Amino acid sequence: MTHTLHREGSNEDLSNDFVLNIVASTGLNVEGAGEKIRHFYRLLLKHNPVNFGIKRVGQMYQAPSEEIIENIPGRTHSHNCVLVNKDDLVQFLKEVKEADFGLSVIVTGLYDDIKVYCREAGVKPHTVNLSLGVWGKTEKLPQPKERQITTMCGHGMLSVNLVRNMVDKVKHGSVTPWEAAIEVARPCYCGIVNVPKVATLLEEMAQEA
Amino acid sequence: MKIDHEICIGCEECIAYCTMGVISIQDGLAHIDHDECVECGVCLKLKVCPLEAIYQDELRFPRIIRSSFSNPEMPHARTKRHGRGTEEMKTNDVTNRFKEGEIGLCIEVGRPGIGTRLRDVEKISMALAQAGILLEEDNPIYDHVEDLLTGKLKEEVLGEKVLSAIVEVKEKPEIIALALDGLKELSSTLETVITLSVICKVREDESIPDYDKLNKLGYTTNGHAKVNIGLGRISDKGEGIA
Repeated sequence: MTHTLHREGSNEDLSNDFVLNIVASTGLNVEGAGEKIRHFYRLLLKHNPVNFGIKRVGQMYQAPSEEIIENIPGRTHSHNCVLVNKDDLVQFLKEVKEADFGLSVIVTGLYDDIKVYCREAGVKPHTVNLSLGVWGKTEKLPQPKERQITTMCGHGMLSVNLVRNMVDKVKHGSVTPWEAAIEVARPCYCGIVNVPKVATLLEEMAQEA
Repeated sequence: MKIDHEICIGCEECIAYCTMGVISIQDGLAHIDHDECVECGVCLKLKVCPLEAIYQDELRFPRIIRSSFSNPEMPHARTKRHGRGTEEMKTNDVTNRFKEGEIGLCIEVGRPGIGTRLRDVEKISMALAQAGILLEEDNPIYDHVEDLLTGKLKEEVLGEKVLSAIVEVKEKPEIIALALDGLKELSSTLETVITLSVICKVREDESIPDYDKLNKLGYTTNGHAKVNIGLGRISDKGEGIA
């Protein structure tokens, strides 16, 4: 599905927000994928991920990273992570290419930037999924800043009411923006929420409230 | 999902976590609006109730559809896959499912965060069928189609509410542009929102001729993209594609 694609925000907001996905295809390269994906994540840990998660296993902020990686099943399909620094992304892509897993790797971000970073890493765009935005009863949508947070989980597991609840708690000092961001990210089992960005947004929203 | 009122103390802890905002306090206790609940499972999975008053009641057809579309950890009955769509472009370097000269169109109904009845999904599948565009067989919506040629869904599922459902099709750029024209008009009649994206093959020189054709017809991306970087290959013995 288009889980990681439709994050909202300005180009400036999205220019340092990269979601990576490693995917095995059923019947085509799924055999032995688990060990390759464990290797992928061990490489990732050197490049300052701000989130990663394995469905039905755990997320970076809920369990020790090595424990999550160890528990990736042998036959597995699709897993994600988030980087927020262009240099980390390029270096990680170089190492993933070198490791030659033979699994599909997808990078989500601003296309014009991703093309440049792919060149620097020595890889090439093969197929692209481009967002055309949201149509229909858009008047039902929450405010843009709230959507910047809720759209980080394409499965829609982040409730706007949880965002508002955490803004209120930050405003009244009962939690820090970082603690609130981790709580907001908890329902996203895939681990694709950009937690530092959420903390920044919650702090801004608390100041504006 | 239900709340055991023998246990609930009305502490309100669960309310903020509901993806559809359908938990409220009535007579001092938390209630879930059963008709509006999409069975996403967040309240139960995250153990947001300090007394564990939230429990999963037995889900039978057609209500179980809510769970398989809304809860990423619940598989669909036929495909046994999780999620709302297919592998689409994520594995295109392995499957070659999308070739140059074709555009994949993904219409995610109910996203972001509004939810949808399958009645609105049917409006879209019927509009596409009328334009001669058939639904993707691997997509979970396919299992609920009554008539592929008209795009009509089974009557008994139309009232079911899900967090979102994706209608996926593949066609020539000119036909996708016509479909988008129709969807633009149709979208104003929906009770929800639709989030759209197109899938195109990228040439060695980084150009995307199929997207360029769509762009000339007035459809433009907002710049956010998911990019398959071509590192996958077939490796399983005895299986694969031609």
